Amino acid sequence: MSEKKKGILSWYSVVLILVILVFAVLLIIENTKPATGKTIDKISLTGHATESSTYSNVTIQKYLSIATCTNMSLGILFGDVSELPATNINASHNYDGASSGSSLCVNVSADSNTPVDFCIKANTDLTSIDLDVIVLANETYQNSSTTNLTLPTTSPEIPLTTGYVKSGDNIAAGSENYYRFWLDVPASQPSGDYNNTVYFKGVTTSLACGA
Amino acid sequence: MNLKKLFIVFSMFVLVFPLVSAGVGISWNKETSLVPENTKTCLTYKVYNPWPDDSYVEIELSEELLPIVSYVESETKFVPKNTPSSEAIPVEFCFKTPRIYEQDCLLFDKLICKQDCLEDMQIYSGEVIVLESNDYKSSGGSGGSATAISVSAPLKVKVQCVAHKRNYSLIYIVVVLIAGILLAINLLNKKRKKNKK
Repeated sequence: MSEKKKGILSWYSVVLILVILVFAVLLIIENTKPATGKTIDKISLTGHATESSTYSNVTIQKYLSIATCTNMSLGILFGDVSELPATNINASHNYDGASSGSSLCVNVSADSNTPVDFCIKANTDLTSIDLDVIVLANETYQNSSTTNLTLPTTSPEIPLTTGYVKSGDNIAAGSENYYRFWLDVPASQPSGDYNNTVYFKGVTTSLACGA
Repeated sequence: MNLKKLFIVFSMFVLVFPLVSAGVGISWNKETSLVPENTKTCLTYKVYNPWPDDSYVEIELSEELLPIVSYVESETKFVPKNTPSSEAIPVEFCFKTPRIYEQDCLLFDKLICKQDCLEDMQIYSGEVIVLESNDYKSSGGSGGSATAISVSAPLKVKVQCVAHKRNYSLIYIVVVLIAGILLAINLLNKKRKKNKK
């Protein structure tokens, strides 16, 4: 009886060892397969065949830089309004540039290697500290790549929006994009100081403005 | 005479230094990034300022890219005046792509999985934006609009699905462990019986 038991135990041990071996081999096979599941190519030997290769590479670099003109960096100011309603109030620097042009501009650096499209938006309505508002549609603009008495034109006036829209296309490196701004203030507008922020974004020409 | 000299000096200053404020510039050499899903990767953009005033800039990503971005170097960066594009300052941001493609798993939706990659490639399109920091900028006076500028570079993140067959390694390891334990118990029992005899 004990010999029979001993025999069973030995047989059981042999089976266990075989199982361990089989699974170890399976594990090795599984882990040596390529990640894609493809089989490894067979090694082949060929005679009298020569082949050489060389490395080819190109890096395409783009860079662009913009800056506001001094008067634009100081803000778009409409001064004091004493009579209401007031329409088409000129921003203070709409006509004080050379040849009565605008001095509100954004420059593209000569150290840019791509033409630039400009995008414009405002963060919100013109808002007072007491939360009175002049709606954004009343703040309007026009733009032009050159400026004089008639450029940027006075019509059509384009209302500012809270999303970026194009406001100057294909402005070359070393050039400027000029703006004129106007403001309408309705008769019922409460007195006070009204502020917001106008954003200018430069993007590689023909690309969308984004959010 | 003195006034005349002063006028000449002022005119020279205006001619040499154009009437511009501090500016922002971005330099990049990558608009598309192919990244496997569930992988962390970092991209480097460069900022520069060829204008005659120092500037402070921040780097941001557009909303479309935010779901996959884990980290952006968001501190304000000082960019000295007259920094040309050739000496642009690198700014790095890192992101981890999410696991978005369907896997066929045998256990707990996570173990012993295979991936066939039958879905279309998922692409996140957005922008890397360099903007003039508002903290260092004067506002637009008592009434009117303050102004702010930014530049942007397009970025497309293509999330790659890596196909793989079901990986049975876990099952093999578990079976080998169980077999090993049983064998050890068996050998111990044998030894114990021998000792008893």
